[in-house]
Amino acid sequence: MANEILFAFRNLTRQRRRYLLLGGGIGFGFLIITMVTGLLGGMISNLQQKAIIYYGGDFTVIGSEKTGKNTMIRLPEIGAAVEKAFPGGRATASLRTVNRSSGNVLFFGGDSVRQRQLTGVDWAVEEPIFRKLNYVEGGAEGLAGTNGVLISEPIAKMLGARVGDDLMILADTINGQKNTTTVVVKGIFRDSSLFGYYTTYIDRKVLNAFIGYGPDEGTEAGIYFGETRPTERERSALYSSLKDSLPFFPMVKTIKEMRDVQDSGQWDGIKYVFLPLDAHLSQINQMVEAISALSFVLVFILLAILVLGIGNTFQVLVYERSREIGTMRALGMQRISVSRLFLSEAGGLAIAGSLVGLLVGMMLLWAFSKVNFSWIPGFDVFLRKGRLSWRLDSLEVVGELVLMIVASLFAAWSPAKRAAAIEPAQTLRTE
Amino acid sequence: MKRIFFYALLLALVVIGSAPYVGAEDAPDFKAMLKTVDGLVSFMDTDFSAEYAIVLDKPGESRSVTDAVMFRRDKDEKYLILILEPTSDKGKGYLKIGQSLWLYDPLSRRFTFTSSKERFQNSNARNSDFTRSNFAGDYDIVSGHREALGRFNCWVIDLKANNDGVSFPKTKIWVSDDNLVRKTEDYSLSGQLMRTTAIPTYQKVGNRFLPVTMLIVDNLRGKTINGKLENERTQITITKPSLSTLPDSIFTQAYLEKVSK
Repeated sequence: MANEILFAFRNLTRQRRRYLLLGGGIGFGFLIITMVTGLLGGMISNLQQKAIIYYGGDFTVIGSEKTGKNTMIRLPEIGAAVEKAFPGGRATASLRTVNRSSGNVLFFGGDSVRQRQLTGVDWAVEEPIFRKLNYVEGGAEGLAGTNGVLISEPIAKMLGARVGDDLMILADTINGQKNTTTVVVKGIFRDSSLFGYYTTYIDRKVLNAFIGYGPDEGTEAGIYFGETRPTERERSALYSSLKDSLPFFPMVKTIKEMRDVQDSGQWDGIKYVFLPLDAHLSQINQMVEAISALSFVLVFILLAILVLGIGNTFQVLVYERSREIGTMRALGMQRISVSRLFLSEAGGLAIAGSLVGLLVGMMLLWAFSKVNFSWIPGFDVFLRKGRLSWRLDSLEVVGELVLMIVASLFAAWSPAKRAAAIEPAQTLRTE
Repeated sequence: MKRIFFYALLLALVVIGSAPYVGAEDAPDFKAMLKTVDGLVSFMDTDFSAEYAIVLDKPGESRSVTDAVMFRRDKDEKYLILILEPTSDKGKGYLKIGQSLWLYDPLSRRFTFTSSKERFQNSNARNSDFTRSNFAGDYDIVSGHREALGRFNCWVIDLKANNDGVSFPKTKIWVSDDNLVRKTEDYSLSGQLMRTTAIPTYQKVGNRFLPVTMLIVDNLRGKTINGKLENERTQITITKPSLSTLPDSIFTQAYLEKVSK
């Protein structure tokens, strides 16, 4: 076998002109696969990070009373349960107040714009998370305990407001009364997606005082796991710890499931819902799955083209090298060895081409990540600080490499069999 | 140009005349005064109908005019407003029965719940501005003092809402000696002035009174032009008032659907 691999390597280098084109095709195919999977992975990761900021964590804990309305909650017991499950600080809990109302309006210089959501944030906990946003002006630093707010770039443009400007917020209190307060723009973030566009971030205690909640209350607790998303095991450990401390509904996976459990059964006081981030992202996940399916089709088409190309090239190669094969067979080479020789050439070509494709693909991905794409309307949701980032899963790359080798071997299988069937006497007789 | 002159004159009357009125008088029973004020502009013993012209001026934008017809039955807390103009909104209607207020859209043929606190047709008027006056019931008196408002000698009464159903939690009204409200200022809970309304003239309908024109200035919305904030304003003109009895069928969803076709 070692001899066949050695011969194969020699043939690949000797006939590099012929193989360069074929290897180039394999490399290009692998480059496309690398870029599609790398960019898709980065875009999904960025989207999840944006969603984590918008929805307040990898998991959300919501309090529910049997009256049918979500209720205000406090942090201590939830925070303690998170700490108990992850003593090393892998997860952090933070309390938020989210005021969703069509009555939320921002005013500046007579201009006004409705805000779908006023989100009260504990800046002391969440400041590092908000630093990940792409700021056109200002930032999330030093907002704790102040009346500073973060608004999105489209909203700032509509109002003509800049960092340092005083805005007025009009909102309904919990009793439905109109109230106003003056805030200062401290940061303008670039986000025209559904996550950021109509959301104003403000200190939770300032928002609570404004709309009539107590300083230690919040509408939901967010649980953050940092850069690495939680595993299924971590999710179960967290839920168990929370369930040991507080009355929880069974784990739910969708918003509909949450509503179903809230509508069923009887309970006294507050019962809690443990909601994963994906529950909010079901529609977006469907879109991502559709894009993934599309990229799978693209990869399949590429592989099919490569299989045809490799197959045809090897057919020609076998025909052209029939005298060489006849000579080797006459010198005692077994049929299986001839077959292995061609398969080794195809495999070697696939490995070399794929590795070059991977390398060039990674270089292109790196170059892409340096370009600012925030000018594309609505694309911010997939960007990190205005740029595309990429993420390649090593297992996935190995899988794709194996797939490419298998496809190449499959393509060369038939020509290799034909080569093995060549009779030495017959080929040596023909000119 | 004439309209701008009219607004300027109207506001000048309101603003210049707001100087403190010299002449001490004993404070009256403000609660009783509010009941009288409410009584003079409410139609508790008859039905009421009229045509309303609502002109919205947004600085830097073209003027928008809404014509509507109003049917009111104050004793049952009912009203129906049917939009006649502009053509794009023709057939839309508001139906209030008790505490419920529906907005009917003839395009979708659907009724949706809305709130009395919402803006009427995106103007500076609120849906609650078309219901009967109930200062005595909805507000508690904080303070009152005497003040001259143009040619009117008024009592200025500071009011604070005693329920959450009203559009503004704080308001200040100028009541002239004939017990008619000449000006109001509406405030948010934190005390931010949100809206100023001037009612310079009234028309007598039976033994009740009805504004001829109301000018509402939105103190928050407008546009900064040449460094100066020009506020949005809405002028409401009420014509063809009638106290004729209205059929019960008017205050129904079916009627609104029928006339909107």
